[in-house]
Amino acid sequence: MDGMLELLRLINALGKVDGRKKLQKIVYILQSMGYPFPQRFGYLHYGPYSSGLAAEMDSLVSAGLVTEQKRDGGGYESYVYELGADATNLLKELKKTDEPIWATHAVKFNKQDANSLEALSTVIYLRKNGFCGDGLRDRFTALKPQLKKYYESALEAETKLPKPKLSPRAVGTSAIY
Amino acid sequence: MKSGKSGGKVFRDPVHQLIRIAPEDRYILDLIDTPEFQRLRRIRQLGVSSLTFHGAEHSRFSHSLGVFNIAQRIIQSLQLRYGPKSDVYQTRTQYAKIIKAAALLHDVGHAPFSHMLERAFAGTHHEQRTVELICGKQSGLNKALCENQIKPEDVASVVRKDFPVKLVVDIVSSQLDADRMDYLLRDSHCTGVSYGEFDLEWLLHAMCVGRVADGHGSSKSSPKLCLDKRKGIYAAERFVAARLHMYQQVYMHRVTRGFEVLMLNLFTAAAHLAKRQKLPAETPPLVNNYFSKSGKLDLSNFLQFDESQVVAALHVWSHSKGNAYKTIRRLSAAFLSRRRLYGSINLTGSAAEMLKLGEELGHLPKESDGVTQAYGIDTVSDTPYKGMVYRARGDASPEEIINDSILVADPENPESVKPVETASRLLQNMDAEQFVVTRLYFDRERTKMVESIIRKLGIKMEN
Repeated sequence: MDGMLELLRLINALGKVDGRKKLQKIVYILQSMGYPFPQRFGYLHYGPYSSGLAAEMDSLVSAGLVTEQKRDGGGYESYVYELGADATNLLKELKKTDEPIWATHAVKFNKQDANSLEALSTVIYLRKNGFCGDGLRDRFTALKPQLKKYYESALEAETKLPKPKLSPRAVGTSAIY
Repeated sequence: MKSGKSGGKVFRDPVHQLIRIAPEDRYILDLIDTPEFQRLRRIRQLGVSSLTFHGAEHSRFSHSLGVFNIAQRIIQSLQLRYGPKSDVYQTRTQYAKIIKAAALLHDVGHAPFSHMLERAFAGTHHEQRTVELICGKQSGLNKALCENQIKPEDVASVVRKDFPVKLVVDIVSSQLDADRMDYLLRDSHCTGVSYGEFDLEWLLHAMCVGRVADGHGSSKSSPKLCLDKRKGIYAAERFVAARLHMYQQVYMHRVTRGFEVLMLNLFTAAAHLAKRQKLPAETPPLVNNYFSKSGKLDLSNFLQFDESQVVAALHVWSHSKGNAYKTIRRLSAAFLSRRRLYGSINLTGSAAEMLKLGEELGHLPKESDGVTQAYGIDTVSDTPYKGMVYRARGDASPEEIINDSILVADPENPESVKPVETASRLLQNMDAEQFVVTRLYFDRERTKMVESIIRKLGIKMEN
């Protein structure tokens, strides 16, 4: 549960996050910029995904530190995350009310829609795994034909991301396999 | 294990009895004969679990051969079901080499004690290392793949689960994959905990290929690995239960996890010394290197970095003299003689309580080196079967659910794919929550202080 505090600070900084997918992608992008989110990501249907992050959000929700509101996500339900009533006091108690160094980036990403973030995080993921040039475009389109029109802008956003300054922190929560 | 005239080979195996490598699969033998793959003989499959289950001494080598074998048997089973004229047969021949190579090599990047060491340092995840070993130009695996006209990047992509043909990834890595089938049977056999058994033969017999719509307005569909809905449901139920029980009984065992926490703290202490070039002089150079560089080793060093190196270091440290070494001496001696230096408490408190606890424990006096924590909060969470969790949450898209479920289909009607739980009352009634175990391990010398913190915060605990 190493990443819970940073997640709580993230929801605090953003006020509201519309959907689990968006939250996953924002954390992945911030982590790839070198900010200290310890979650471990693998590749899943919507691109980079961390089951540890999902479990941590569940714990925060069941403790009332984060609330989730259901809304219709087009055929299935989606959740909107907001800071819970007790969270502000807890952050005060833990002396974590200062603005995190990644806050401006996070706010910027949160203004984008889920598809753009999925496209951007997938480009980052593929680049990290050695894809470039046409190879990157081909693999992106093979994995995400439905996001083809987001590719160019995602690529541009990815090249403009500040290069990592900090090294990611050691990972706590473990997968066994 | 000499190869016969035909050019194939047979391995004796405690789980599968015989693992046959066909003459046309000689590239598998080339891969096995690389230093990268042979190294897996010296990496235990279950890390420090042998301190709890003494039989758990089996290696990643035998598991990897087993995964290859199940992958090839899945392919054979599909071949028997579908004749040579079918699409499935075409897919099979086109991708069989990639599937078998990926199955064999999926774990080749594991560090000593498997998952434990990679937890100590960021950026040392075994999957990443596996990909580097497959794609790196200096690697023997890369050479063997290229010589056999297999693109290393294709194999790496299957390992990363981002290969665009889903059926190919399904066989190596999914909710019903060759990896899981082998590790449950092998770990169960070696630990002597029979909960991990399930009906492998029937699962293989029931495998078929369904078609799943690509979604997002596309009229295309892709092949997915499924079970014949008339045959596979009970075998799938047993398989899910086997995984659940092995996690609870073996992988999450309190004593095993406690020794992992102890080792993680020991590694912090060792890394602190290594970065100042202050590890005892007799420490094996590779181990010194590993800790001073936070787990980053180049390929030639990585090939020599196995459990014998780490155990040799533990022996040196456990006999080191002087105050500077007190922490590594004490922790490594405890590990080697299997002394339970740490007590443990099961924590059931809320997230808020856990965060407060983390803060309070941060003030607990460190070990004698002034750096190493005298405690560790260990959280293990697992989902015996992802499909159920999605169903419980209610916020997953249909594509996501299909992508991460065990699927059943009517082989006569390949479009009829649905998650197995929709056809299984047992799975429907199984607890759909992700199960999480959180334990606080602490140096017994700090017991009173830890107890007073727990009391002060009013945290619920179970012994």
